[in-house]
Amino acid sequence: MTPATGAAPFDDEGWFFEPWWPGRPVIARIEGGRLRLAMEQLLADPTESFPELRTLVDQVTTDSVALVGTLLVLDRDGRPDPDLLRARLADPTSRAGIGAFVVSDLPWADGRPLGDWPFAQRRARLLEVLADGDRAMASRGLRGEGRTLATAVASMGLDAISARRLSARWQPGVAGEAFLRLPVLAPTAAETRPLLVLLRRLPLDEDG
Amino acid sequence: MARSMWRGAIQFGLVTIPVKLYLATESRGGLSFNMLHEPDLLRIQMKTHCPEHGEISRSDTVRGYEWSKGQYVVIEEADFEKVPLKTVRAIEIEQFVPADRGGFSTTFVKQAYYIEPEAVGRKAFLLLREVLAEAGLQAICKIVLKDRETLAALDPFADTMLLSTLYWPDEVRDVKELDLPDASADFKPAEIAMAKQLVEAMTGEFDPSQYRDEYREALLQVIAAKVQGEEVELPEPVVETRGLTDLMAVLEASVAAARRKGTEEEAAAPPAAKATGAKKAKADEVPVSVDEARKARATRPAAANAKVAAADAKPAAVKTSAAKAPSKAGAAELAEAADGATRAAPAARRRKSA
Repeated sequence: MTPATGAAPFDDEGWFFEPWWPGRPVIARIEGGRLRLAMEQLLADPTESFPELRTLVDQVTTDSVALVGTLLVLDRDGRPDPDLLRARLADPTSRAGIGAFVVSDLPWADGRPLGDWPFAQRRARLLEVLADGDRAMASRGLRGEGRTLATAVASMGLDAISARRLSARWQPGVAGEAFLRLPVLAPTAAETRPLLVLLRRLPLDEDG
Repeated sequence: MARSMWRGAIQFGLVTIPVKLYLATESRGGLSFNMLHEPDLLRIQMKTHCPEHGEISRSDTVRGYEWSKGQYVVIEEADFEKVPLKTVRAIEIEQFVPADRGGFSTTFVKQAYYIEPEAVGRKAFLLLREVLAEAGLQAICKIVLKDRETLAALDPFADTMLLSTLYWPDEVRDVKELDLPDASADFKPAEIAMAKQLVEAMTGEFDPSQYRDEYREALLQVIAAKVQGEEVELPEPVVETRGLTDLMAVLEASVAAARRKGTEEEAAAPPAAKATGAKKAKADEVPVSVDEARKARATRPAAANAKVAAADAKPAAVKTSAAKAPSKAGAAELAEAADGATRAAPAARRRKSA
């Protein structure tokens, strides 16, 4: 399902809004405990380029799943960096940055397709099926409050949010009434807070 | 027990004396330092890297000679053995000369080696040594060391003989290259007398043991002062950046901040799912650190955490810290997934009514 581009963030209780993470769309298939990644315009299986994503297999509580989401590479400060991602994809042996996978949809689980389910239900199942991990987790977002999320995302230095209609079924191709990419205006200098710079390394014995 | 670095024989005329060579000196050098990466003070690693295969092991390397641009021929140990030169395994004495202390043969010494005769050559070795010592002679010879033919001098020394490798004459630079004053200057007798007096006052027997590397000692003092004077900055134990967990924490904080901003602007109904007192107290404190965000999540209603614990069923390869549970509670707050009741929605509704 590919998004259409919307005009601006909006508020609507029937939609779920997430940050548009600066990475590449990817489908992760887990079958019999084995992980395979598939990306558009990439012939080779990028799984070998991202060994850190193998933990995904242990995070998934059921078998025979397909997870749709965004592949990111984080820099040392934990920020997604598209340049590092490009570098990783160009050179399979490169280990630049930290690979990460933000999952937004679950079109297939337990060996059967969930395309007929409304997105809200697919996402609920996704949260049940995928335990959070440091390298892969379900995308976080807000229901209804598109503009609040846009403000939040802008202060993080990202430039778009995604909007998915909670009642929509999975459709192939561009699904403008179900999936939108909404550009976000960059905040004025006074509003920008370097929140992304706050990530600190914590001592090993910190217990959260 | 020293290891000899060369085995061969002293040759002259019909005489062959099998010997071993040992380095006579070792370099203490300066203090050794490690290269560290400044931000984290970790030792850097030098990796052998092949443009095609990435990191490789040293044992996979061979020596090659570039005989034409980009064209290499591999040279192995066996090839070095085949070099048709008699000095490969021999110290060929070319001639004997008066042992001069100060001439070319001692001034331009590269490296000194001790000679140890093999059992079968002991008598001949001592005989040669005796003759050189009595006649005041040294032997000028040629030897192949480290793939190069070298000029050397052989002198009696202590109980053995010393082989001093020398620079080839064409390796010795001409003094004329320097800008030197004219040697014939006029000195007054008084000047000469005074200079002589100064020099004689400092004249004595040379005792090498009286001298040591003072710079090294001084540097060690500076280092000791630094170790004690200021707190030693131990490199922080490298904790893996917590990747997505941190990223999502930042998102949560951004959302909270965006909501606060929205509240200020609208002064309307309390924002949905405002987390806890802890977070409220810090409402004005921006930016919110990951620490605080974690603590805030930790103090959320136990109900949300309990439900989350169930979801952590198989965190096998994933860091199992409490940070994960609160993070899922964050999911509960942010996700607010579906009308078809999920765990998340009830948790959110409960908070709203609290």
